[in-house]
Amino acid sequence: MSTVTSMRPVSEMDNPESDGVVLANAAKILNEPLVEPGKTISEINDDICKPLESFPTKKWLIAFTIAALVAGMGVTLMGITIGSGIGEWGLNRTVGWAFDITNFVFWIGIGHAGTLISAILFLFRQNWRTSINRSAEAMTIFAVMTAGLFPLLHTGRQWYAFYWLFPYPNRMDLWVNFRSPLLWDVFAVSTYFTISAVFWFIGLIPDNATVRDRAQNKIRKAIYTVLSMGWTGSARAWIHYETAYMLLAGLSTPLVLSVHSIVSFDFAVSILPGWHATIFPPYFVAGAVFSGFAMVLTLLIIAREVFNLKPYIRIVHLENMNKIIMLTGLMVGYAYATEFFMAWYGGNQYESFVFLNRAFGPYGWSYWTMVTCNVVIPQLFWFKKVRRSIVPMFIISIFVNIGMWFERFVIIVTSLHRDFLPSSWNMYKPTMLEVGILIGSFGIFFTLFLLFCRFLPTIAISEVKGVLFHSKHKGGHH
Amino acid sequence: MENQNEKAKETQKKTDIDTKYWRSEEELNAFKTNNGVREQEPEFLTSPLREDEAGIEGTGKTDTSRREFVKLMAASTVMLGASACTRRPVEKIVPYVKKPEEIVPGVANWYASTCSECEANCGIVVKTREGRPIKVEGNENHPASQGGLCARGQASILNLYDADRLQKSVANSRMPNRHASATTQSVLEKTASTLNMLKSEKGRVVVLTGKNKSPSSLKLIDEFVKGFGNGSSHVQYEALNLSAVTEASSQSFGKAVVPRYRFDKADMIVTFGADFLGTWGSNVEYSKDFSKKRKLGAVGKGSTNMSKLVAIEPIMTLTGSNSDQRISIKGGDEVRTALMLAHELIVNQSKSKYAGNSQVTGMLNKYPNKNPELKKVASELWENKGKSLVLGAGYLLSGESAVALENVVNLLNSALENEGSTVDGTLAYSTDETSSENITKLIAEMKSGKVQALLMFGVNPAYTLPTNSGFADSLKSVKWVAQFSQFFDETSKHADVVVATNNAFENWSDSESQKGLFNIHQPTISPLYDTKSFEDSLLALGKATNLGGKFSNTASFHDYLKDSWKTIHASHGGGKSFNAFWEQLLRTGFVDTNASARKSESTASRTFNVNALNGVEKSAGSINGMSLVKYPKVSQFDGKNANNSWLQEMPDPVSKVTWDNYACIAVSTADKMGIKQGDMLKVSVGSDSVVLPAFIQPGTHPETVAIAVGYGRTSAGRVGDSVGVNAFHLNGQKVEIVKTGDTYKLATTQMHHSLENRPIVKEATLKEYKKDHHAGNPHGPELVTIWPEYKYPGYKWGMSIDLNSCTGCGSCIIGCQSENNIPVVGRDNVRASREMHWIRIDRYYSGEQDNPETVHQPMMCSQCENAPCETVCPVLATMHDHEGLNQQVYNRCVGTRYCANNCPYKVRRFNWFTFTDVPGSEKLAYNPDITVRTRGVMEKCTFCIQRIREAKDHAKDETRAVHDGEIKTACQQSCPTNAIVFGNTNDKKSMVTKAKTDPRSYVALEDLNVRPSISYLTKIRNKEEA
Repeated sequence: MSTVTSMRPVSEMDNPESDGVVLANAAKILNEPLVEPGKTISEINDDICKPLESFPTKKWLIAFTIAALVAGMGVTLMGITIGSGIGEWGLNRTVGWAFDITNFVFWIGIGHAGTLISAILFLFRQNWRTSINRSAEAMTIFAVMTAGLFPLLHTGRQWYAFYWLFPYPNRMDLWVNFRSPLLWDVFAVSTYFTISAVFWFIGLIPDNATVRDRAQNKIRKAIYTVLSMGWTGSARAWIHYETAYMLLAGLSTPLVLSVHSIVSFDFAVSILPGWHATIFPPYFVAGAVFSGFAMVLTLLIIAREVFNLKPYIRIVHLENMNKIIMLTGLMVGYAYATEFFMAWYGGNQYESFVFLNRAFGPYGWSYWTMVTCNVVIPQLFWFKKVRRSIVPMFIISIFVNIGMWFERFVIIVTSLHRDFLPSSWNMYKPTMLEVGILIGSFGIFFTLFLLFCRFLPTIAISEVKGVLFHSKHKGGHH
Repeated sequence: MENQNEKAKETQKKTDIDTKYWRSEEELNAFKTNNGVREQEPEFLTSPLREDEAGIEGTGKTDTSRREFVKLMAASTVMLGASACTRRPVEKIVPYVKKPEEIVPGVANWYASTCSECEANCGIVVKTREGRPIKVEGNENHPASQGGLCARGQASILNLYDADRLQKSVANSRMPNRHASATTQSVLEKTASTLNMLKSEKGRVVVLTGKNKSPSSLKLIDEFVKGFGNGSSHVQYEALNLSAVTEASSQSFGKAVVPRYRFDKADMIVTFGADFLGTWGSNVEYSKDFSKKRKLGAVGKGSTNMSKLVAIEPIMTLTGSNSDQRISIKGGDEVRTALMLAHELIVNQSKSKYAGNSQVTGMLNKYPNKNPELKKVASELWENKGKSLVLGAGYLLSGESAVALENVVNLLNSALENEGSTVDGTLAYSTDETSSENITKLIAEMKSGKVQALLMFGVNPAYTLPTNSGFADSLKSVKWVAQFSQFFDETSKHADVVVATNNAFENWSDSESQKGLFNIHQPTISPLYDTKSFEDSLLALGKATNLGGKFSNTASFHDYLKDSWKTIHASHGGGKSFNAFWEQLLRTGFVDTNASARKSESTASRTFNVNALNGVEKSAGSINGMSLVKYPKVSQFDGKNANNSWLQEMPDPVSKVTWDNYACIAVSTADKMGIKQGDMLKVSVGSDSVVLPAFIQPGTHPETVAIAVGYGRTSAGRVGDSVGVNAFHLNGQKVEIVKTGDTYKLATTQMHHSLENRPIVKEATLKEYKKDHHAGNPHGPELVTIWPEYKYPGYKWGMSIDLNSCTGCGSCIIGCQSENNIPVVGRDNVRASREMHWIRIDRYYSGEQDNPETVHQPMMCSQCENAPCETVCPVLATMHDHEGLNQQVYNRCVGTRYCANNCPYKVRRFNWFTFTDVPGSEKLAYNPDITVRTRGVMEKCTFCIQRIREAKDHAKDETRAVHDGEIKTACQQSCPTNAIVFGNTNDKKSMVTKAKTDPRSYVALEDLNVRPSISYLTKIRNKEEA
């Protein structure tokens, strides 16, 4: 019993078959403990709840102040855009989208890792996810929230767009266009956000109960009582809880594929050369997972420093993520190559022009930035040493983030700026406002993430406790 | 308290001590003069001390100080709060209590009139709604303009509502500190009393006007100056004039006229730079006539032949861009080249009656032709003798060399027997002179004190004359200078008074645009401000100065005009009473007393006097080094309309640049000199120089620099001030250019100029076309669609554009702008590629960089059947209707711009800001049938849906279907070459269906299968090989 690595401390413990599978997995994947050997259950509680229960550390305060200021700047610049017009940006009659939709797709992509980790890795019984899933899910939600700002902000009349895009009954009989990929986006993203948020919240319930039980302060107790929804920790509660969690994991899984597929339809369904390609859905999903993992990596490397979570977020977790980054990076690289091949093989003059222009035209620098960051640099992860060293992997994760932002920029801007009629060919140059909004979006994201770190358990306490036994056991042999 | 005071004193002391330190001698001196107070540079002042600064120079931004910001924030918060509590003011719409009989709200009234923008005087009809004129269109019955109207004519309506117009007269305008607005009445009284005094002193009065083609006005001015006597006279002056033609005409044929050119009869046209399709002469008439010889197949009554246009020119003019063959010559070499052409024709090929004339051949022998291209041109000209036409350099050349060139051109036309067929000297287009010599003479007279009073109307010599002309100085010797003007312009500050005049749309006038073609200019609105027409002012002045005659008993110029038309009535009244004749005239807009002669095949030919060639050789040299060519632009012409924002934002038909002028240089020259697009150049002619951006213009001769005139106004108004530089200031042809090192971003609407071998514009040579009408337009594969096709049960609107007729002149752009309330976005937004024009003209080059071939392609919403924009709009703001229109619902649009991204023709336009916030008076120019779009919505061409609606309503009232040709879109109506055909494609007999079934018909980007409703007819070039 003590070697069970399942997160289900009660319900499945008596099932030897399931244990066997899990064990086999554990043997295959986990060559080393997932929690630092020697940690006890109460230590876990203490460690993870510490940031919630103590006065914020200096590191947190500094990080939060910076993030909040940047977010404030972003919100102000967004206000200026709404107040005066989209003309404040560098867009023109030829390039109708640029930073706005780039940022949207970028942030939606970032959100992907969370769902992948929490749902798909859960269904595949990848236990190493326990230390990272909570923060990855939180990241998903905040990334989707940040992403959601852009489709609204990019419209010319934000004050109408925020509700006209929904099919609400009205006496004017106005309806939405179900043929428009933008409308599909509205549904895909809002569904994704809802499911992710619910999934995240369900996962939080037992941990909120832990925080509630430890609370000394009345107000604190009251708040966490509400947030833990009357959790008792009884066997019956666990059974219900686990079923719900499993169902939501099942529900979320197709979303991982669908959301970015649908986001890619914004481009694939259009007639623009460079956008109109059937490879887009899988290519975008792979890219999303790629960028999402890179962002999780970036965040966790910082979080484990700032909140002393090294015993829980160990090199093994990071290494596993690096492997996924490498894999998805190769997939993305394959997609780039396929696009070029198809442009040549398809024999469409507009298509081949767009791709030549992409690589060797005026925005060639952005294309090669993208290729370098996304395809070349992640190859360093073939070396185990790189995969397991914090500094190189942190740097690579940043590169991937940059590269994936540029991927969307390249797709959007290089396809638009020179399309069918040469008379309309044009250049796009962002204004400071757009750059500011991009930076501000990071501010918004980090502000939310830092608040999360301060007020909710960043690591799934109950799940980590599940893998603790295994760690102890394994540790005992060392 | 005590303590604080102490502290304050201490600080005071400290600063005092501080101010005693000085950093430089200047500063020390400054303290001394300022009683020891340190004058600080603004950047060292704290923000409250900077408050009185107006703003940061050059940026246009106001430097709001912190305190001011806080103040404004507080105030606006309070106002926001307060305004939320108050009710919105009630706005009442007052209905007519007594409705004027002719006005039906919502129904337009059309008045026939005549355009006053240039001396061509095209016939127009003015659309008025509820008493205000909103749109000008060509009068289709007018014998000269035949329904076309150029961009400037279309835009003239905006001048009426110009917010910078003088709304009152100005007194003491010569004195900068004392000039003030005054009532027009008072200013006229003042002028009258001065004139009275001068009259008693036997002073001389000169009336200086622009080109005046109004018989009544000329008569009135004549009576006025005669009344004064003492050598009083009327002087006409135009900066851009046809005096070279008249002068050469008088030397060659003994009579100073501008002949009537008959392009509709010319099979071969050679121009030495006269931009007859763009700016020169009666260009709308010329374009209409020229296009008749360019129509092929279904749109050309089955014709398979067309004229050939050869342009021999130093810069790429609009005409040159439409030529079948273009020979690039250096600016200033026109006379020599023309002589070489004459040599080739008369000497080498010994053609024409002058071949044996030793006086001619002797002279021509000095200019032997070695150019094979000219050889071919000469033989082709001879093949088309009697049906060819040779033109001079138009406005590109001035002075002696222009006259010399016109003389050689006269020789060529006479040799080719074009006199009397394509060149009609009898129904002369104009007979008056407006040469710059007139003004030079006047300036000399004024300087020597021979002029006591000067009345100026319609001229702006302080702007159009070179700096060294001495015009402003000479005015100082004139006792009374009165200017009659709509604007306080560059000349106004040299006048004693500026009498605010009416706009042309508020005025009565007439004109004789060609011999025997009399036009009436009727007002369509009462004067908006305290203004008076020039002629009415003259009448008032004449009365006040007791000139007697008509002056004593004519109440208004309207009466005077009617009275003078009685002579025309007498000869051409057709037996009607004068009132009936007058009524008829106001409906038709013109009387053509030479109607039958105008249509006749041939007219009397003039005999060329070979002595006219005597003075030619002086101008036959070539300039050493770079030469300067000054040219007018289609939009700006001589700069009169600088304050017209539509025209400023109209892309130049060739360069596609808006809002500025620039120095055109050849591609090879730019490469050689290391000049890039937008590098600032110092262009010097003698001691004068201007600094302006370089524009690399393919087709410019490598040794030529071209600069447009009409820019660099300093007192035009808010729109026109400081736009470009004034090239009128450069006097001479030899030029030097130097890079200054600065750069400037020109606001252009097209950055890429090659077709990249895409099936967008299709073309073929005439030879290929004759062999196969599908030439250049092979059948593509059959395209299938998986969608059910739309049904169009009633009408299905479609358009066909003939690329062989379209000259790219840009009239349609302004016609559309006026019809559809299209906003002007300003230079910065054009730089950012945010111009709003619904129709644009794409221009592509091919071939040699220094002498390319050009095509023009109008591009607007194609109203696709499988419209890519329709599927992607999330809110259904753009949808397909049952008549094939792609509708844009502004109210529903949220502005995602997805439709624009997905539009293969990139014709959708987005309101990036609130562009419609124009001065109140300019809002009156809006078409009330069209929504004024707000910020954040997408817009595009609608095929003038309001016109479709109107015609359908009209047809419904009469229970019939809409006739073919009943609906004309604004672009189609304004087109001077009838290149656009619009109609119902469900009707198999309609013109548009016929055009669409022509073998030349194709749609742009056909393989996308978006099925546009606009098709094009291939461009055919009349040349031998492809």
